[in-house]
Amino acid sequence: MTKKTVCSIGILIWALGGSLIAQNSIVNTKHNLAFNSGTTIHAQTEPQVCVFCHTPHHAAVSAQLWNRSQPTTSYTLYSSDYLTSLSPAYPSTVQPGSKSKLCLSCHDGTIAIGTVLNLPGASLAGTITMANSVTTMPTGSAGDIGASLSDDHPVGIGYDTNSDPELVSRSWPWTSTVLLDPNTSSGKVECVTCHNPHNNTFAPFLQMSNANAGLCTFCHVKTDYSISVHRTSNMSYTPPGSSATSIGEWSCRACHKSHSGGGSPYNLKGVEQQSCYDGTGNGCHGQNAPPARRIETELAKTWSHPTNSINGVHKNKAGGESASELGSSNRHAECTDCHNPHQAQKGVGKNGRGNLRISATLKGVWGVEPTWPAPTTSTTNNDVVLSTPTTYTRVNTPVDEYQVCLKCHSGYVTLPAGKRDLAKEINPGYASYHGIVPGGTTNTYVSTTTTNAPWGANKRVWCSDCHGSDSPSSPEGPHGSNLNNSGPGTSNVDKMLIATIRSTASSMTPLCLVCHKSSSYVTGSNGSNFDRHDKDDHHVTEGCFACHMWDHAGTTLTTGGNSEKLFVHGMNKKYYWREGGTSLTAGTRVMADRFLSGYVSDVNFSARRCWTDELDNNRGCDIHAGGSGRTY
Amino acid sequence: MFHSSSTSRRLCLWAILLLFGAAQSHAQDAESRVWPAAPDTARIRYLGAIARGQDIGADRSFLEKLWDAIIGSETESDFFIQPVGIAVDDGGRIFVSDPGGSCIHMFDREEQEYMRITEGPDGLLGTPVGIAFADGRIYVTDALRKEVVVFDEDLDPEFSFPTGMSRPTGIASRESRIYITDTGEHVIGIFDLAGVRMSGFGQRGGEPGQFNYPLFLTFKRNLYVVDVLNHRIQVLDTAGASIRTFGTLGNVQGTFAAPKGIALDSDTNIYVVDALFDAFQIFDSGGRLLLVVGGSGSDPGSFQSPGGIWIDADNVIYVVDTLNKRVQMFQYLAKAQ
Repeated sequence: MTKKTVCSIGILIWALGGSLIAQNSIVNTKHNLAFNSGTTIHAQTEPQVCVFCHTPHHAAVSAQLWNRSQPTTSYTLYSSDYLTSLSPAYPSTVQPGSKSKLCLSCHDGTIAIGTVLNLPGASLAGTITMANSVTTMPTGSAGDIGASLSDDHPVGIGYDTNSDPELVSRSWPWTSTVLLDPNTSSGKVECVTCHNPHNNTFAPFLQMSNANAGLCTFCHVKTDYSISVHRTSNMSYTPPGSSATSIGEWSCRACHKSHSGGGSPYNLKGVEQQSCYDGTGNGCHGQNAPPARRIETELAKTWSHPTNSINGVHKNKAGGESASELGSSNRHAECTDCHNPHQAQKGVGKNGRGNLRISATLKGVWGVEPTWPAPTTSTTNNDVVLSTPTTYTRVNTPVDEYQVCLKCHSGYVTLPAGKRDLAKEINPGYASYHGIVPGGTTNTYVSTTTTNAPWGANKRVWCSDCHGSDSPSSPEGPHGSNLNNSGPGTSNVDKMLIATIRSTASSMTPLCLVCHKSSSYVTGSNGSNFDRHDKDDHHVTEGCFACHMWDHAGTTLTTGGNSEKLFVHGMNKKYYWREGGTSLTAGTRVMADRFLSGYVSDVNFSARRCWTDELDNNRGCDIHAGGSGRTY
Repeated sequence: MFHSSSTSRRLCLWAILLLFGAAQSHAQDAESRVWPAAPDTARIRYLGAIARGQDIGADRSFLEKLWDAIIGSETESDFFIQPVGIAVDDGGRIFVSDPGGSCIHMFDREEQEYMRITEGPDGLLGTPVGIAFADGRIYVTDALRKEVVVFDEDLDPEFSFPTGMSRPTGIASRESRIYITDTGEHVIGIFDLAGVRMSGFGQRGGEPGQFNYPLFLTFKRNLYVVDVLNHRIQVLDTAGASIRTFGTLGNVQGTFAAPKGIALDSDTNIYVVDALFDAFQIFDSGGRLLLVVGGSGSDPGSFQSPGGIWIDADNVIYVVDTLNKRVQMFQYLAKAQ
């Protein structure tokens, strides 16, 4: 561009001065980099506003007194497990286009802010938070800020709805202000897709308003997000440096930050679970949240899912991780293993759940459904043979809570030493059944008379009915508990229980009494089959386990080396009790399906006779044993 | 023939680099890359690049090995996030500022050690940009926190001082004075070694001695400042009086589009890195263009948005290749004595 052309443009701009100094002109923005910005533009001596980006061609070429040559190649920038796991695979990111490189020539932290911290007042230390006081980002972790731009919204990335169905479908050319560069099906997202460097009407230099995350949702559409709790909530939320709004309005931005979020990839605000905790003072699910939402402190309790302690293992693949990515040394539990933040809906809580079998907070996560072989009887005694599922089927939309839990707590994965195979324990074909899986035996004494709401006849028992927080004001769900639970027949304490299984003669076994009414089993026998539950002689230090679930004499339920003797989830052993008769052989034999721990023979309720035998040979509980039985 | 100690140390360092530079796929060919190409006299030769600690033979840190043990696999570490500034001390230790990663990378080729510094004396670093050495210490400007963080030679944070500046970036030392560029206010401040501001000069404008977003600066008797958005280099005396300015805005050789780093070799040739040209340009002390080295790309000798530059006493040129996440090194082939 010659001096004359520069002069001409200068005059032209000056002539149009009035219309240029308009509300949305670049002249009134930070992008007016001329050193005399704000004054009338004169030709010849002063630079124009445009030249800082629209570099004019310089006609006079300086001769190099020495010489040179140059080759070229390209390289990938942004990638994530999600993109590489899509089928068909998402097209690779390419080097940023010249427009993005132009932006980056100033926005690299030198001339202008680089890792664009778009929240005034937020300190960098608060943005990148680490678990366990680790101050160096563990390399290789999912949160490790890898490639230079991978913690920013990717540029140089294409728009392929065939590969990723969670992009808004469009045909080219787009007629919006948001555009790919070039505006074709092979165009890429560049800085200019979201930003208009000339116009600051929608700060910071956005192409359109981002109220209600409108700019984000121009391209991104997540399944069922519009009905999820995070989108519909009008709970107050105050982003740092911005005025108060609601979680629903702030939407995507509550968890995602387009530039340098700290949790990479996916532009999350923090590393893995830190995005859910939010150190801003709004609390979200972090330690500053009100009790009803506070998960961070639950997960810090003595017995908890290792969300806070194991980082960098989870892979966020479309369709979920494979079994091997959940097993052995890959075992982990991120928030997103059980919760899908885009699809989760508000839970109704235990009391309001009616016949519901899985909480709405678990919407959008996958689980596994086991298939057990038909039950067979042991050849040496009357027990059902312990069996593991023959197959597991992945379920994209679980209908039962246990399906989500079993994806890690069963033989679906390779269990590390000491971890139990719960699928083996909850087999509905066993003699005694705890209502976790559909299809087990019916116990007519389980009713609304003998159990507290919401349990009762034919009601499902959820894993989280027993496994969850020890505090009633905490959210439901198996996040963490401080209760120490060593009880009869068990030395392991890490069960994350809502009430203890430590039993006493006075309070019996608190965990059982969460569901099973005290008036039926402790203070009275209302509706119970055994009308002596209330007898003081039957209130012993082992609590309910004196007669139920505890395998006093027999072999242990060995699962993965665990030496537990409590059959809480289901019991394959069958003991008999008989009505009537005076000897072990007379009378009707009925299979015990009430987790009875041994033979209770010759029970005659009307004659009030109870002949215990082999209940516990060595422990002196066989008050009623002996050749002639005993009336009482 | 008697080798000077610095030459033999340099040869030793490069032997180490080449030995462990196996990650460079074009190491063999790249070694012979020179500018200008034959039959012109070669002036600049490609030496190598550093992208990660292993390139200088540094073992994985204890924390990284622990992490590998936890997750059960060995992962390739990405060291640089968005590196910009560079300085090399007399012991050959390379310091790279990384505003994207909020850290300083230190590569010690002799000890084969890599270190990442993320904290100053009072918390995590914000956006470290410029690095200078003075009085046995390392001075780092933090543009976000608007302060200078000072480390001792063992790289422990010693103290920090506020600059009172809008955006401190470039930093250079001369005798017992620290010169810091305030990019946001278009001035250069002069501080003593303790961080007390003594004086300053400059204002926004287009006249000689005035600046429009100045950035990196360096000393070679005189003060050389990259006046970025005036698209020129200014040569000033220590009080800020203009000696010479050269350069114009343009998109051809000899002009500037986005000049960033500046350094001088032993023959007072001026090297200016241009982020939009993906190259560095060499001018003689009078401002005449001598050579352009680089071009867009990721192979040895090409750049993607390069930033800072440093030339050590042996005329080894270090250029921060920002978007390629590496530091590239070249040798200025000085005229025979």
